[in-house]
Amino acid sequence: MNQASASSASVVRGATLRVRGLHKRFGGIAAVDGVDLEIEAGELHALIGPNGAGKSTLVNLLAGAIAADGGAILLDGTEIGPLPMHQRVARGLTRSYQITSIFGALSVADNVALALQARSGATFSMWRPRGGALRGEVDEVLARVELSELAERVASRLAHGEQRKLELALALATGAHIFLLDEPLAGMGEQEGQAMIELIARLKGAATVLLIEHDMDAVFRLADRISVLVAGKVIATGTGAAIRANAQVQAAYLGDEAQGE
Amino acid sequence: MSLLLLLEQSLNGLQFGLMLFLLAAGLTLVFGIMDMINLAHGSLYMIGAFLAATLVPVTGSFWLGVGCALIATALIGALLEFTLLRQLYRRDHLSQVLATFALILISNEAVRMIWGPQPVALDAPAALSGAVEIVPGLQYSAFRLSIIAVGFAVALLLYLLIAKTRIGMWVRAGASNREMALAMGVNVNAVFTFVFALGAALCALAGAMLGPLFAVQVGMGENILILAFVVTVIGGIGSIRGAFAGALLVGAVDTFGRAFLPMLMNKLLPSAIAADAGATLAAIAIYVLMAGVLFWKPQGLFPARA
Amino acid sequence: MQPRTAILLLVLLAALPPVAAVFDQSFYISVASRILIFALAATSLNLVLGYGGMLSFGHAAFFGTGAYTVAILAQHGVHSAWLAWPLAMLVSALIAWPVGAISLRTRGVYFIMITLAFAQMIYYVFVSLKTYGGDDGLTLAERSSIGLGVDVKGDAHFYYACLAVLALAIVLLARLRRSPFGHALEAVKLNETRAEAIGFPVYRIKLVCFILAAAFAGLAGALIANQNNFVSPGLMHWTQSGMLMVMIIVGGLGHLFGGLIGAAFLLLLEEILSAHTEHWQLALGVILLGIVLFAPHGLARSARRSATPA
Repeated sequence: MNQASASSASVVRGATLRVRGLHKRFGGIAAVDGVDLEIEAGELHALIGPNGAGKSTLVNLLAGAIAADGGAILLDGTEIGPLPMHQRVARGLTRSYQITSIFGALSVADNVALALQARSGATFSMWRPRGGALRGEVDEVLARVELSELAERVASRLAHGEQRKLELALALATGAHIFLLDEPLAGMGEQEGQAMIELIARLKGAATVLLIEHDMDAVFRLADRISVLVAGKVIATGTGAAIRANAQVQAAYLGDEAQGE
Repeated sequence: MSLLLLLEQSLNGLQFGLMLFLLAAGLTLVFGIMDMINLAHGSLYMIGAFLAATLVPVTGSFWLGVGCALIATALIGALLEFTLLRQLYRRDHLSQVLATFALILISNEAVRMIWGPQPVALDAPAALSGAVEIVPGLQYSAFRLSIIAVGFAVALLLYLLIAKTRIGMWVRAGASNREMALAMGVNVNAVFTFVFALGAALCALAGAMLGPLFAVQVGMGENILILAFVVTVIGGIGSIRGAFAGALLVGAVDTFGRAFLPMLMNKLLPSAIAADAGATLAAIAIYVLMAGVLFWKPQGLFPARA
Repeated sequence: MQPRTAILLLVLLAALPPVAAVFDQSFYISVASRILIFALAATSLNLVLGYGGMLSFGHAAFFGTGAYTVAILAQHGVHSAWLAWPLAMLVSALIAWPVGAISLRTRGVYFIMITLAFAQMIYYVFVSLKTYGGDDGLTLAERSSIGLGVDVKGDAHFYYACLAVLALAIVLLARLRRSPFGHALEAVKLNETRAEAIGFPVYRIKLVCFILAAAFAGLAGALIANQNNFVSPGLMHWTQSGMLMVMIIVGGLGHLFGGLIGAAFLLLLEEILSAHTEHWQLALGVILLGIVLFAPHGLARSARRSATPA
């Protein structure tokens, strides 16, 4: 897979992502209210915040699912704000979904093959069958997320934890070097969660990751730096230790967390 | 173009638009609340017109006959909803399209078996068969004026029903948020049947009022159904206000297009081409309007859901 | 269906004209040609609806556009099939381009209705074109000529031309299904959001599919103009789009032979029912309703399901 991603991602492992003054309103409510973020190449940056803070909206804005009302998104210094989602993927930025979004009717291998095929650029070829050449790369991706044994299983019949792995595999297979992972641990049990944390840990240094997660243990274990989003604004950015110590964060967020959500 | 002609065409456009509103009101509610595509809506319009054509001579009174036709069509609508369409709400749009398409075939054939293949006459009431001089120099059909009056009256009643009554509140809740309506413990089934019967009655009213102007014949619902769809889309699915605005807009654009575009083309183009070009442009004007609205406002003018 | 079954089917269909001639039932060759032509039109709709998952309700407009292209060319003295038929495809595709480009910006019921409305718009264009017959339609002076010793003025030769075109279209569809484009189309149909998120240009994929299907509908239209020696706006009325849709559902959505099975079922049913009753549409409506309610996956799938439990 590293070779595979090298083909589209060039030599650079990961890329920088800069967000400047990003705004999005829904009706009268500012869901994302002037967000600035600086994510370095190869960094695993976590985004935390209470429910309704605007985390999902921010991911949708960065991925290109919705258009921002104002502000800029710079990928390696280039503005990608006006680009549709698939063109952002072509530039190496992709996302995973909080609510599993896979091709349920297809086999696990075919799911991954689609993501690999998408970047091959032969989408509009209509005569020749899709080659078996993808098969080797499919195996590599599946090995990375430890789904090799389930390659021929129909995706909708996978267990929840396995579907979450496939969700990640689809993002990996695009060959992106910036991943927006939207609550990859959502709904996972203790053991499955640990396996997922391992998988994400392996991305560290090899790609840039923006991780949205509610599981604070995972966040503090994985993240190089953490930003805290409250009511559409970033109230703090720093290392795990700095964030833990931040009085404002404790008051706004971590304090509540102890009482449960 | 003279001012009088402009006034006359405005009235024609208003009259047509209001009848389109009657058709579109039911359609947009069924769409918005049940998320259901009902192609058979046009069939209810046809059935209403045929029932009126039969019941007006039987009762000896236009309005009494139309009233009976309204009630009968509402009952048919309710029965249809209760026995068949209810099963389709949870199915995909494709199944809904096909099932209601089948209903068109069935109702067309049923009407043909009962009333025969020839158009049936439905006469305007004798008292309204004359013309009224609304301004000096403009004679306008009294019956068409009464259509306008009926259209406005029904629009007002519908507004009061939806905005001021409890059942109207349920309908609004259903159109904007179905889960919310379910959670509120509304008897959704009853509301659905009511909405469907109401839509059927409005169809019948439009069919009965337009019957004396157009031919009452098999297949009459099929072309006007598409116009009602256009109105629904322009106005925003599920929005009565949108249906009203859309209907008046479509009525006006269609009527003015047919009246004035051929004239305009005659001035601009050599007459050989102008005749075709004018008629063609007039025929497609409302579709251009719809494409334009959807291009800039894909959810229509008054989206029911934010 | 296995390739061997497909070839057997082709041989059986090819044997029809001589067999019909032996039994002195040449009338059925014309019925069979009609079935093949509608099979082509329905197959092209299957590309959009079954493979692309787009509920286009205006497909007859492209069918009719192809038919009118041939008829209008014939009116101006162009009779060569090699010119007229590809032009029919091209004109239908060129019209489908803006129609698709605008319609595909919308979703769900809006898409159904906007395609319906565009088709109605094209319908009215031809209704109001008095130069080409308007409401009354347009008669073709003669059938297109193919040359190469094929005389499609005879019903049997024309039948073989239709069969060849349909067979070619089905082979193309079979290839397309397994091509990168076919897989991309499947991805878009199954999960549009995810398809975009893994980098597929979803809008463009749908538009290309829409235009391609329109081109083949145009080709079917070119054939029906020749079959009937007559075209009218009725060919593109929305109820005709509904009939094509019915064929696909009956035959099997996304099934390679769905269009053929559906067209054969519906047109033969029409032949049989109309021989017994003038109210055959009532029976058709009831049967259709039954299929939607009780066999929603089409006759082919339902038959296969009962034969081999999945």
